[in-house]
Amino acid sequence: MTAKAPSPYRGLPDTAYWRSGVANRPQFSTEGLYTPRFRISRKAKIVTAGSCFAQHVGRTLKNAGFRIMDGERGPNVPDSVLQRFGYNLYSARYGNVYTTRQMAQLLAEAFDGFEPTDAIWEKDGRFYDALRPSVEPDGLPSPEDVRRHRQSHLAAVRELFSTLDVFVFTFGLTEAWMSQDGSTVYPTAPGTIAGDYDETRYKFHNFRYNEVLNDFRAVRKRIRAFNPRAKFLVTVSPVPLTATATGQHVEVASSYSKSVLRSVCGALYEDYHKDVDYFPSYEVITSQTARGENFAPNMRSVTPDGVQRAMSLFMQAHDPDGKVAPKKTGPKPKLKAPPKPEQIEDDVVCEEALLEAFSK
Amino acid sequence: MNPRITLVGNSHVAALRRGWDHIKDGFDVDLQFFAANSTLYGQLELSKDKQFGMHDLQKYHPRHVSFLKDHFGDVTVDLSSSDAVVLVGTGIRAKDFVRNLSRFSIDGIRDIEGLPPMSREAFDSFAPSIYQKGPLPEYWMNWSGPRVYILVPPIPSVHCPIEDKRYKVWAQFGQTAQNNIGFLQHYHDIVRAELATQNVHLISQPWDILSENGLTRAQYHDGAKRLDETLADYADDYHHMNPTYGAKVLRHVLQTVQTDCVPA
Repeated sequence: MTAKAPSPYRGLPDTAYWRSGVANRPQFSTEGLYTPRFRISRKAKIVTAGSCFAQHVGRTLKNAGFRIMDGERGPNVPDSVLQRFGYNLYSARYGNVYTTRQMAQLLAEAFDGFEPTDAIWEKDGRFYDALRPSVEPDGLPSPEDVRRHRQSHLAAVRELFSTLDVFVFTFGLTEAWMSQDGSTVYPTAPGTIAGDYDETRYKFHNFRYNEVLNDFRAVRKRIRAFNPRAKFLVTVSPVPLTATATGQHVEVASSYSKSVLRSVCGALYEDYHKDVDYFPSYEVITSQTARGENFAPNMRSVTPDGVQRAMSLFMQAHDPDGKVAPKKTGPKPKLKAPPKPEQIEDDVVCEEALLEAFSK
Repeated sequence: MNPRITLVGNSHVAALRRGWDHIKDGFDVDLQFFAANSTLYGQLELSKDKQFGMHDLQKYHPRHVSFLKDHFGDVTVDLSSSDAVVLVGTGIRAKDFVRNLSRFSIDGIRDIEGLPPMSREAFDSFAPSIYQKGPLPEYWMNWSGPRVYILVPPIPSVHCPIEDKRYKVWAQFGQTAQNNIGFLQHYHDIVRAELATQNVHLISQPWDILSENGLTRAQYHDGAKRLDETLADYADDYHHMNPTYGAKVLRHVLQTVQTDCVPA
């Protein structure tokens, strides 16, 4: 009779056990949650995109001295003014990119000449870029103006994505609105910022695991065609859905959406050992150890302290000695002080929140 | 009774003072000047009873005290007795405006192929923010009397060298003459509206002083003299203008102010 082998769960590090890794962890501690797969260097050209929460990631990296690319740099005026027109939010003025299909579609348009359906929406005699309606909140005078602005935007996108070293993407949503023929996905529901909801022209779609995964694979493949050494840092936005069109309870729908996105990130992390890293901002914010305190009273927005906790973990991992920042002379830059609580809602430009204006 | 107008400011007052000699016979105004170099001008103070200048001589270098006494007879000037005060050389961040916004093709204002487009709405939001980065000191605002004006400082001349960092922004701007004057006029209109809310009135230079590329025509710069004539003439300076400029601009200023000062 052979001796019993010891349990494979014996002798593992503390982080492998719920009691020592979570239950006994001090509140808000993020210790042990993240070990970077690769370091991001000071010279690396970083491009950011994604849902609202990605704005925090890009801003933190920029403040810390990382080389965040800006293909559509705005004038030197306060962020509050700039960001109203989509400047200084991400590496280009694409606005929030909530779904991986939206990201893949943008690159297909920029590089392959993909022509989106119903790309221009009208409202009160003004015309909006349906694929980024928030960047011109008052619209433009004519469809031709929208086309001209978009061509310039696409040129910036081409330049950015053909030269980047690191792509930071925050997965936000699975729910989206598409053209009826399924060829084009929009960042907002028609009628929210501009356009009209017409069910003969648009349809709702809730992306599934395989769709999300394949779309991001397409994004990765395209970027690596330009730079085979490009790296990808993926995160999942911890911000729940504002509203769902699935017919399910929004909390249930949110759980589905985040689960799919988190699963896709897990698959990417497993499949691409050399170039994909997952940063657990989702886990930091939603951790039971935080007892819900990373969320604002609306139980949806992440508090500035919560953002700070997540981004501190990131900075400790990627810049433990503050070596990135000293490129600039003077004292070591610190993370920006969190804004006051009343600024939470205004701090991140998120047209998804517009939905609240239409909720009951 | 002639209207009493006081021009206070920095070194840009010099051209106006010299220009006055050429045009004074044509105006029935009581005009007085009070000026200092930019550094000193920035240190002068305004009292509650609108006496502008040095109020505590201990705070100033004796040479500066002597300069004001020698040139203006006193270290302060009484603004309360004026009908109008014109601030000369007070900037409106025009260079910052040009640096930041001339690299865009602004819809309907300055369409330039090859530059990234900016909507008119974005421009109208950004331009005031640029002015607001360096607003006028509060003590000039919301006077019940006299009426306060800002005369915009000169734009460097068309010959300013791009290699000189002081002029690089303007020289680059001048390389593309594509409604450059209209571009500046839009900015002046935005600043004018902003200042009007503070009961301060902006006077732009006569626009025909500018070349098509938005820089000052050479004829208004050549031969410029310094405020303090005992110092050497401006060498490699393309920002201070000559008496011809002074005469033309001052005529425009006086016509504007006189029109405003005439009771309805």
